[in-house]
Amino acid sequence: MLTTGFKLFFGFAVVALVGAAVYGVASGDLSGKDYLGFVDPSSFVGVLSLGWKGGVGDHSGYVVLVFATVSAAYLAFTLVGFRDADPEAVARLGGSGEIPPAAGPTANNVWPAFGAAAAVVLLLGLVTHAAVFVTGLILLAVVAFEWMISAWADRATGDPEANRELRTRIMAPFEIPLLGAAAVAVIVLSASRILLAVSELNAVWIAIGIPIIIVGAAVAIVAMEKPSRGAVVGVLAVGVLAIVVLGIVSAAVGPRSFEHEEEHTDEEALVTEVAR
Amino acid sequence: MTVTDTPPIAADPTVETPVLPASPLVRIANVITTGEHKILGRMYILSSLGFALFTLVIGVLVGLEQTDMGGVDIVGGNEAYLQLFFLWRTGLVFLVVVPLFLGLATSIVPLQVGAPSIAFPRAAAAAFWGWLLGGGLYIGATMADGGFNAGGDSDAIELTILAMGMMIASLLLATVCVMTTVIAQRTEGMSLLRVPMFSWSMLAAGAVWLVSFPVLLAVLALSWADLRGDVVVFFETGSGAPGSLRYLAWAFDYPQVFVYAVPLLGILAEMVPVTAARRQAMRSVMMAAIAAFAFLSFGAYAQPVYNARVAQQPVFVVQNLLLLLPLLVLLGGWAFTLVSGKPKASVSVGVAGGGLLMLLAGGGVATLRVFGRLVGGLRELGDWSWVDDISDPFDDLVDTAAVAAEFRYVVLAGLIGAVAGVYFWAPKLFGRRLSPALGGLAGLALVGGTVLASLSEMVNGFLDEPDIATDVAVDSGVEILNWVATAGLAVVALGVLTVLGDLALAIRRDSSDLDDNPVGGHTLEWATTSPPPHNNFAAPIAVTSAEPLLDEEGEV
Amino acid sequence: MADDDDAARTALLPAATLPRGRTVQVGTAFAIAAVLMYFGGLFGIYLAERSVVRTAGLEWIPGSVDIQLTAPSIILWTYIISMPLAAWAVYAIRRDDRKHAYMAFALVLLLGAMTINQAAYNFDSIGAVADNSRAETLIFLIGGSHMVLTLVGMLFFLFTAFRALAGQFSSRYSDAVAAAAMFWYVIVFLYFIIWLLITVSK
Repeated sequence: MLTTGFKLFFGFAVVALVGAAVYGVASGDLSGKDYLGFVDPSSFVGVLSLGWKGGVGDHSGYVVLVFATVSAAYLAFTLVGFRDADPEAVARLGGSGEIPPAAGPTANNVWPAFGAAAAVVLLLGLVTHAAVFVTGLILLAVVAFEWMISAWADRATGDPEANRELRTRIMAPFEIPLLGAAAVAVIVLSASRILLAVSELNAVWIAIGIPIIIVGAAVAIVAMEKPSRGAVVGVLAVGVLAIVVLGIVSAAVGPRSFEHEEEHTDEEALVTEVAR
Repeated sequence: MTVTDTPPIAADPTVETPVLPASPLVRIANVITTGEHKILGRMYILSSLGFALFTLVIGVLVGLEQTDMGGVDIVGGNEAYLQLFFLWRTGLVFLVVVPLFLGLATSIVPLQVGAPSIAFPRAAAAAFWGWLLGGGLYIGATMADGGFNAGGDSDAIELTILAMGMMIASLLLATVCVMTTVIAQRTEGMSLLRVPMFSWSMLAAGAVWLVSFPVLLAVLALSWADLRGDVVVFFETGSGAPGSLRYLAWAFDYPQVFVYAVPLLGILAEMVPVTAARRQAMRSVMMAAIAAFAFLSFGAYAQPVYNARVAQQPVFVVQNLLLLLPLLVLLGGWAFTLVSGKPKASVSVGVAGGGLLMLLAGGGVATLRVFGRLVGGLRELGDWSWVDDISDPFDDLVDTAAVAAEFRYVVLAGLIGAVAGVYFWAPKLFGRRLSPALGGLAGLALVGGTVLASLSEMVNGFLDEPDIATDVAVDSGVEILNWVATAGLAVVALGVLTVLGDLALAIRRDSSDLDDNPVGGHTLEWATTSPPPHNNFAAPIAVTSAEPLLDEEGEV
Repeated sequence: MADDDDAARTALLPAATLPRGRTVQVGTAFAIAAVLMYFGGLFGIYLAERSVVRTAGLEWIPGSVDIQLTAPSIILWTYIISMPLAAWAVYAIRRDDRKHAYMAFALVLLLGAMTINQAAYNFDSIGAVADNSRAETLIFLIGGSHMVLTLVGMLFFLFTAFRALAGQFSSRYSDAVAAAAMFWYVIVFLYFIIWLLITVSK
């Protein structure tokens, strides 16, 4: 028996196929004045040979309609093969005759959002610099790996808590050092951009000021009787964010001109002088 | 390492609901990491409505520019005008209407089919974040002198194309998740014929999105590959719309534009039987009509770049004429259901009905635009001058402001339908009922604004105003009508603002006495609490008809 | 000692429920439909552009580009050979024959890597420059897109292989492996079209 899903997609396939045939034939004459298109006999050959032997008017539209037919027919036959994936049909797959429950919600996971952010980095890299592109690729690879581990851990046992613990035990030894190293690298890179962008004197002041602020904040937190976790995290987050944002701005502004460049220029001048 | 090679046996499938501490940071983290379909749906809805406001403001700016057809004065040059124009047109589809429907579907479809979650929840989350970040990047790149015009900054143009590709790929992923939920996550007894109408409409619309958006992706990929090289071989020249937008134009014109409004039919098909308090008559015919409307909207083949006379093709003409047929069938079915039931007016059905009227108007514009082609076909049979007399005024509509009229009628009909859906399913989406008064006001603004914004463009079409250009000589009435159209868009924006305001107010409202089924719904989403629990249903539910809640009440 | 404790604890944990059948396959089928249409769009543009150029009496593929039959045909055969191997992975996992399933996974991945390597070599050797002409841009785009698709198919297999190694696929549940195989067949089908379009008919 033909299923509803089959009828839906096969209907679309038939409509697209008829559309392809008519369109392929009727678009044969693109230069004439006629409104409904001049029917060129060679168009029939083109349509019947799926465009292989030419004769189709607008190849692009014709091929899109043929592929719509193929896609819809593929879905139609897949669904009829699966009996529309009706719960009763799926129950027969397992042998027990019981309808397996549909998948429940998954545990929270940062990787989908992180993956989208990595995709943005990748796109930015395609436009800006190969290094950014490679960073995006690496991030996407990390996401793919983490996703794979999470997907496995979700079904490792029937106990969600044990699954979480299992995932953490496997991944934490990799994640914590790598994330820590990445965070340090980002902060160092950002700080270096800031110090390179400002004047030499200001760089000295910043280099003195930032450690004082860090020590001051740490002393303040230690002095608190019961420092709240939220406050500590908040202070750290704001601090890191400030450094990263300033680093990005500084990178955009570019480094100041350095003395050694001038020396280099002098050197070049000297070489030129000697050459003369 | 723990290895679990044991044969899986039945166990409690539920995943414990994470206990959320009240800390804002943890809440934000929970939102970012969620795979819960109801939260994802809410985020889609709120983000799309936010984007709607932004896009409509851009539309108003573009409209203001068109109030003086002597040149580009307001937005700072022709380049900026074209960038904003395309941002407005593409944004309304891919930043607003399609994601709004997908947001509703992500929230509601799993509930309707009796599933504890959406299929592939993590992929659904990735789709949302991909769309949101891609959308942000798209706006940013366009604003940074990007867009699709040959004259902008080349890096920003590349980024615009890539960001649009990311957005569309993400929407495709979300579509796959929703469609898979409808097919493979249904509860016991729910055959595809018993699937609620909104879910069915998402399946039908999704089928066409699935086969048309990738063609758009292919065009975008080609645009990017072309622009990336040192020598631009495809997009350097062209008439009409500049740059690569000529290759994308089919996605924002008839018949493709209708596919963005298909879920509106599903939403209305949910509401009408509820309003009439009876089962939908000839349900399978109604399902077939929705599917037929979706399939007739497939327009990825109609690319004017490769066939400048595509609008004269019989397939194209007949397709656009036939589009109205399923709509008329649906209208007949709903009228019959309402007449034979005991209709009770509600804001959501009123707003959705307004959306349907706009869709019909859009169908009317499509008919007018192909009418000239239909009559003109008679030229092939003989040399009759009266054919030209009849067809000429309609022929001229093909590339005029009538394009904008049809686009606005249809896509804004989608927006109106989605807003109606938000009001209808608010108890399930937000755990609150929204204000009927504000809903009515918003509906009036949305429908009224759409009429102003579209009808005046339609008249301008007959006055030969071009669809895009602003530095051309036009009839005297055109600029005045453009003022009206712009005011209409501003009113639509006010409507969206009202909806957002209502949502903000609803959060403060006490919802402790909210009923599971405050609207008298017939389908499974109304069988659970408002808002639904983490797993949607306390226990799996088996159904024996398309309206399980009416079965419970013993209704025939 | 700690390992013993873990083992004992694991034995006490309930096994995970079986995922619902067909879900992954249905989702993959929808994704396949989208992939087919993406390539359909590209093929349509290729044929349309080629038709315009040839109708004008011009050369579609520039003389500087030397598209030979040998390398693409070897790639096609590599793909064709990988198809029964993908089917073998499904067959083996459905019979709980893990050893052969792992072999099949590994062979599919190996052949996938080989096709990518060969395709990269082929691009290098035909003398095409991506932005030299419309034909070359399209050849690079279509071929590049297919390479990315092959990579995605390999990742799909890699994921399923990993979960199969972890014991999550068996005769009771093998949908993801079947879905990966479905996806792989479409990759091969699309390469066959590319071979016909670009290598044979040019």
